[in-house]
Amino acid sequence: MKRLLAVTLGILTAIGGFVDIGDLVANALVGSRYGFALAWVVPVGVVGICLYAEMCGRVAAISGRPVFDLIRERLGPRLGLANLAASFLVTALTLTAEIGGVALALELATSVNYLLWVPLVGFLVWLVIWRVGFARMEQVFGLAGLLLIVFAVALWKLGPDWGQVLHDASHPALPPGEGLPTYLYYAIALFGAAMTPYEVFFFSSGGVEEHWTRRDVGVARSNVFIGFPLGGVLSLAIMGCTALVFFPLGVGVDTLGQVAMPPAVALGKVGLAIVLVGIFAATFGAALETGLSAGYTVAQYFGWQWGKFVRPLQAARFHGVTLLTIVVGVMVMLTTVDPIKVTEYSIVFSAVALPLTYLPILIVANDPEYMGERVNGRISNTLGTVYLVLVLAASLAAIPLMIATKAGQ
Amino acid sequence: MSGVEPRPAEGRVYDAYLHLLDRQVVDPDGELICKVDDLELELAEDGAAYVRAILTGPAALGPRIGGAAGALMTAVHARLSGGAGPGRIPFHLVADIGSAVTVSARPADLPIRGFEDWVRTTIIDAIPGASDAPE
Amino acid sequence: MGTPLVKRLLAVLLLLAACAGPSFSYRDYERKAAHTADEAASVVGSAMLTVELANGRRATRAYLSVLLGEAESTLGAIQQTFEGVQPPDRHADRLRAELGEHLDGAADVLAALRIEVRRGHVDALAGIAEPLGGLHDALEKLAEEHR
Repeated sequence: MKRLLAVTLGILTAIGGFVDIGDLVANALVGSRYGFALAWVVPVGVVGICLYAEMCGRVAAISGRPVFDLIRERLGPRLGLANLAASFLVTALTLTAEIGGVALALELATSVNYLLWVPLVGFLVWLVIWRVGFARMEQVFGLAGLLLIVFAVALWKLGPDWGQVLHDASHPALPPGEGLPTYLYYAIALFGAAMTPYEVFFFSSGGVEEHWTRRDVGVARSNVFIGFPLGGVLSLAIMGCTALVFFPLGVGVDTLGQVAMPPAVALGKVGLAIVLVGIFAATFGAALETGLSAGYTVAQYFGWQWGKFVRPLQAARFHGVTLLTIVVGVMVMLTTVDPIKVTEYSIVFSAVALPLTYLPILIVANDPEYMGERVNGRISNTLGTVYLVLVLAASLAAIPLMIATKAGQ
Repeated sequence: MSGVEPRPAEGRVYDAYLHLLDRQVVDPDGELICKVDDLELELAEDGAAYVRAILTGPAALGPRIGGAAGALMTAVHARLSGGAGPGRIPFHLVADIGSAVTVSARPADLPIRGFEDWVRTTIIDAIPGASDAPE
Repeated sequence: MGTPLVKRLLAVLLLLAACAGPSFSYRDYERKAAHTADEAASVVGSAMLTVELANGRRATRAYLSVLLGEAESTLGAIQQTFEGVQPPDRHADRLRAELGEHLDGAADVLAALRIEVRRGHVDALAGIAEPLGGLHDALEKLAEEHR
């Protein structure tokens, strides 16, 4: 019974923790501009992240070491350093966006300007990382993030013609006045938002934080194969909501306030309150994860002691890196750069960094020295290779498309 | 290393490149110490090369990375540490070589703690709760 | 770099390029205007949705205040960007005036909405927002015509 409870908790945490500011902005924006014409990208992204998260979880459970730790061993210090640079920078950018997202959510709730919230948010993120135990931190924010189910409820309440929806989703068509390059640009952005690098590194390091053993491979898998797809359903609900509310009027979503509007339209003040708390929890949780991931990647490359499972005194450099990254994130936000723009850049650069992230994972998960007989099976390897090709294509096309479409104008 | 391959009388044969370099070094309790950033080799009279010590830290890693990044790493370390060389763990302390390299000494006893100590004493110590056990 | 002939050719080409200048035709200006009208229509549409929420008492004052404030500043930025573009000829001047009229109208309404919502007069918003429907249609029509 206790085991079942733990598994359920893990799944619920995974669902609630799946959506971050990147997913919120990307799905809402795409829904408002393309209706359901890009809905197919979400399942494609979800399958990819499930595939690789399972590998990362398995690596953590079987070898007792997180995936990023092993990348340097397998790729050597030079490629490992390149990987570190790309992963760290993208993660730091994502952290900055998440801090902005939390501040925006607080602004929507209180009408106090988001810039005033930014330093407080940075401090709180650091404080929770410093003081709150790993498991509790994950559970609280993961479960609170489940409130985003309000998007699904709102979607149902808005009463779409489901037949039409299914048709539009399965027959993607360019809306009038939209060009193919912009469509592809947003497809890549959506894909990058679903498969952000920090997610897999965090999942792997988190497994070590929670002292997973080979018996926990099943737990890791249920989190991934049940939790993540349901998180993907949440993403689609966000897209569906803006597709129903904004798309018919030709209104493009470019603020967090608009992202939160459909639940208010469908469910009134209660819906609005729930969605704002949900957005707060999801982005705050993601800020915690990206903050920790920034520390994980650097510490694991250089071999420093890391983790919340030891006293901070024993992992001084790890905590130092996390603290520094949060401070820099706060400072960037305080330059009054648009948080939504930062979010968009973070997901596009995530797409660019994806091959560097995922190729080493595939290599490590196939290594019998770490995995014993639990190396990748044929399905994992076949699908994994397919996704590597996909990810490489997205990565190569991302920057040219961004330039050509002026970041999606 | 040359083509001479002296086989040891007993024990396993390791490939230094595959099994030693870039490995995590841990203490007997599994605490993380450092990475094997480089190896100090010594040539004996019979021409065979022996590993004398594990080298670690930016001074050891910089040259292996090479290029501009490596040079930067070495230079910054030299500037901040006042010209200290790489951290050194004598090889006789190595107890086991598996997926990680286990060393039979405590992290505090090893002369490789410069940066960690500095960050700890300068920043982390000052923050309340730094010595609290994890939940 | 080449013979005297090549040098002369290069000089001629450079001269031609300098004379033509940043070739900004009426067609380019039209497209900019259409794009601006599209963006402005989007902001106006969003404001209309926001006022609908206020009408149905489906949102808090804080939320409405943030959204309407954002709409106003977004429209202001769009307008400023467009007005910063030099119209290439008299024909463009007319287009500029027409679009400018709609943008000014929308800016006035959004400013009034922002002021009233910050004062807490949520019930008054619907009345103030009445012109938005017409402005939205006018902007979309302009965008269509000049796409």
